[in-house]
Amino acid sequence: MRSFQHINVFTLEEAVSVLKDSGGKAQVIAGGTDIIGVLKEQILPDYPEILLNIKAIPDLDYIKKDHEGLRIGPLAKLAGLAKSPAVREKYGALAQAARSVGSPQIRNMATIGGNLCQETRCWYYRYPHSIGGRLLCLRKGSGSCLAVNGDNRYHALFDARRCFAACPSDVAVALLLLGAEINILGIGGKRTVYLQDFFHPLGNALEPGEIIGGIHIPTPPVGAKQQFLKFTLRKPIDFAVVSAAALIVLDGGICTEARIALGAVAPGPRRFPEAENFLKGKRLETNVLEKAAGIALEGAKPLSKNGYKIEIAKTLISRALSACLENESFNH
Amino acid sequence: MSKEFSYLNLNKSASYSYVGKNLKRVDMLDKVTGRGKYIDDLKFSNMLYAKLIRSTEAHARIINIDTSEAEKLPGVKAIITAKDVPSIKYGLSPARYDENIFCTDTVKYYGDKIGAIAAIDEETVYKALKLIKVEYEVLPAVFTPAEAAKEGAPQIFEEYPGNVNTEIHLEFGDVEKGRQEAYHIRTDRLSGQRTLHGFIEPHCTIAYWKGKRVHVQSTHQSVHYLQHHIARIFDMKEGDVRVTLPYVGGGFGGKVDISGTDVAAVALSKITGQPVKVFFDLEEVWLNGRGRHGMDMKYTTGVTKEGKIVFVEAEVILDGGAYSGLGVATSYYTGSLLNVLYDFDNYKFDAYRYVTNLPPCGAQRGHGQPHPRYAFESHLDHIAEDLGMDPIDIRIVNARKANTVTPNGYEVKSYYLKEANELARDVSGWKEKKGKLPKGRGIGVGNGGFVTGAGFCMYRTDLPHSIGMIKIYDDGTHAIVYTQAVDIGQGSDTVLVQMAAEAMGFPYEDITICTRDSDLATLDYGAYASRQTLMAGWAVKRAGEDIKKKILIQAAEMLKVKEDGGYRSGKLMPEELDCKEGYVFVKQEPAVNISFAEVARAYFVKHGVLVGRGYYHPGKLGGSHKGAAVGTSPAYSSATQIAEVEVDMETGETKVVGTWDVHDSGCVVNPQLLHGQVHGAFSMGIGETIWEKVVFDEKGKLLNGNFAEYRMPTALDMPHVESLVLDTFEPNGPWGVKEVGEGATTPTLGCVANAVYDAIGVRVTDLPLTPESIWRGIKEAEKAKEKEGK
Repeated sequence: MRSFQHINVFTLEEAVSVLKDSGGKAQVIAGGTDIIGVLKEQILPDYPEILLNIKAIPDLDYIKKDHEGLRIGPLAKLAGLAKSPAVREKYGALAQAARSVGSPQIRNMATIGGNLCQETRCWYYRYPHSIGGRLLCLRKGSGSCLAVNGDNRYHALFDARRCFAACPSDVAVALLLLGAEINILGIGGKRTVYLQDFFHPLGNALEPGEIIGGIHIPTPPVGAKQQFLKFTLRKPIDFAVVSAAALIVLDGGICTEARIALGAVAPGPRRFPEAENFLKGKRLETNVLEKAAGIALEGAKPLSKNGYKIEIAKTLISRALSACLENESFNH
Repeated sequence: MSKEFSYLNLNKSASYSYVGKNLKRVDMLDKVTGRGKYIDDLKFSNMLYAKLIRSTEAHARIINIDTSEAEKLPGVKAIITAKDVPSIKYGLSPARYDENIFCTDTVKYYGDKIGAIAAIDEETVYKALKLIKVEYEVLPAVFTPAEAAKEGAPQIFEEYPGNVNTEIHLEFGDVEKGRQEAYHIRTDRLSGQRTLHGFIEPHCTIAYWKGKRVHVQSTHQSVHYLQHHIARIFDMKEGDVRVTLPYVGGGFGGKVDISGTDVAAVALSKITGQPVKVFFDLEEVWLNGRGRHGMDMKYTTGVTKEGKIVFVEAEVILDGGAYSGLGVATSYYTGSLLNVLYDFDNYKFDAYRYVTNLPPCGAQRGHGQPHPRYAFESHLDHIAEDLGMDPIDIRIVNARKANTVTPNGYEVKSYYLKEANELARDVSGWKEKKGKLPKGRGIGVGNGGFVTGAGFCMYRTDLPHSIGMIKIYDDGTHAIVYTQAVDIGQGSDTVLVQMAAEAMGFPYEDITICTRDSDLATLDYGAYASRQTLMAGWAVKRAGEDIKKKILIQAAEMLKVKEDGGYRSGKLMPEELDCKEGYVFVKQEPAVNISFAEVARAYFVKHGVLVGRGYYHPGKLGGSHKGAAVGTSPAYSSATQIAEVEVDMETGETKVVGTWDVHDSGCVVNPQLLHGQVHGAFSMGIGETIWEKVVFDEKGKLLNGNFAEYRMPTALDMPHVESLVLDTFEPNGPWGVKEVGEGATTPTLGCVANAVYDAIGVRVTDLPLTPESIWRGIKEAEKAKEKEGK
């Protein structure tokens, strides 16, 4: 690992000011579970001169209920989210997603803000610099996507145009399902983006000098049932091949609200409005769920080696939906 | 369960004091407290840090290496390339020494060794690496045996025309005759993938010179081979090379070869006159390679109506990667032990190992065997199915018996594969499960085993295979066991101390073991070929017995039987005495005794230091054909494993829900360590069956050189393991011991694959059996069924 300056800050405003003064040479570190690997492998052409440690900022790991829903501090640990009664009570998919990440050690370090900002797992993007030099690609600002003609078994099925890296965040899938908003703090002040607008084809919505200030999740509809599922190769400590989350509300056996989100299939987590609309107004028999899964995946554009992810995604959607119907533990 | 299994009772371990007991590991406190030193814990004043300069082309001629910018960097102490080091070639098979310290003309894979840089700290080394400019003339490359074998394919080595590095053609008995006799003949083709050992400690070497002697500290499985090869490569006397190994963080076959860290550290330390530490980052362990070869295997087998094998024709094609290393031995091992396991006369075996422009392959736990075992065990299940036989029955019909000789000349003393199959069948509930489980659930069996030590040294020599020495302290209260046997985590230090204690009749807890040091300890070839418990065990046992003999002679002079009421009167003879757990006593009258320490002290006063010496050489073993040296051994283990799996028919995901292992390992010195080996073998084997594969891109760049993307099972992926041992005895082993370490991995791939087949009803032929390949297998079978239906 190359050396860098390590600066502790004690308020978000201070963090923003250091980021501004550094002229792009500073990188935020919280739990460090992703960034340390990124720096060690030197996968990016630019290496930060400063690591800006925000862990020292007090009271940013809150998980608070209020009349509008749930507010989560950017430093809230995944372990805390998985355990929090408030999260488990009404935002069960988020608790499940947080629980699915890494190992206990990783969840004890990793923060929700860091999870949203983590780099993709694309193995071309992640190729370590020490063995013959990093691979440059569109995502790093020069060249084209190496996965298109390469080994793309884990790459994106949707929305990718020039970069086919998939977003690995599990937490983002649950947040998208629950309609979360991200509060962003920057030099110019505060702004709020919806979760779906946070992820961009080549990264995220954070401009230079910006930082996640907090996350807000509106209260889910009354009676909503939700489920997050993740398909990995190895059971624990693995990234999603595909992850899925579903939320439904039933009224007298008829579906009045349906949400479906998938992860690791696109540059960001993704909702499927056609499939969701298909479910609304129907009784959710097994064939209806399977049909919805089929509709969701209709627009998938597989590469040479990732067609299998379509089948996994369909299975996960059906299973997440039926789990909503069965899973009493997240009923309200 | 094993205790209730009474029809084998060949071993008398109940009467032993230390052998057969679950004693605490001698390295336990060192390892659990973190006090034990691994190489990365070692620091020396003035020590330089160094790394290898690696090729960034898969196949290219080196036109020029410009080190001038790197040399100007403050803190850089030395930069060396091929021109600065001896040009002698090395490897592990003398017939195929084909690796230079640094590439001399062409680079042969992405990551090949071009040179090395030493600097005052790690950061400077990494900076300097970026300033090296290598100019290449890029050559066309080959990445698979199929590409390598093509007419007009680029040639990687002049000495291997057609890129064929090793070619084996052997026939025993009369295959044509077998073909005539066969009731049923079947051919199956399967393939296994490239995998890697997955130890957590990357290779690292620290070397420093004192006058004409060099001290090499390394991460290695053998003190002796490292010493031998360093001496050979640098044209030194072996006596001028001191090798010591701190604790080693796993090996599994990946630390048998001389590593780039070893040769670079010796060379850089000589040039700079300072201690030099050359270290790998994790991904370099993948680039160094030496893991399991990718293999394509084809078996044609003929059987009688009753399932008795009458002939086997085997063809194995190996992807060797860029160099030979241990690959010649691997190639022979893919075929040489099949008819140790199964008793049949007519056997034809052909193998081709191709060199390709990828990291070299070598030995990985089970050396050369797990893939062919996987393929043949799958093949055997199909034959059983064709005949309408139970898979276990066909294995029992063909299982080799004790005291037989294989068609290729190997003498097999103890061998209880039949009993292993029977016990595994009974404890796993096989009869209630096989053919009766619901769709998506399946049970499978696999057999395996291994040599207990190779019959020959890797190079031609008349040296013994192991020498043991034991020294008793002056006051008689403590013993030091000397051996170069290498504990790489498997527990050999513990087992050897147990054996020394038993042989001497001296307390286990009063023994220290001095190992892994060529200056202080005595010759042993090290940890490979599952050899140490038997071979180093013999040497230590004999050293212990030598001590005991001297103690009994001395004690006979000191002990006196009672004049009245004693069992006899007069002077005692040593033969009338025995020594156990620190006390010498009269066998007929144990109340007459004296402590070992008192006797040993008296010996010291009279004769000087009390030393026991032990010697082991396996002598001439069976087999005279070309390549017989790979497979001949004083003893062969056998084992049966059964796995039960659950396959998600919608996603293809496999969950191993239960495993059973029955081992015929001879006398078991430390049962807990044996069970540990079995658990570890299941973990490795399940990983290799379902997840693990080293992936390269189309230019030969490594894509998954880390533990996130190279998926090995975790504790949570592990099923329950039921590990049982048969109570057997091996006449060629000290106290009747045989191996467990490597052999335990050999049945796993086959039994898991057969369980998957049982669950889904279709054979997926290529490892690993990923969810995707299983899902595709299920879908294709469904399609085929639909077609049939139409």
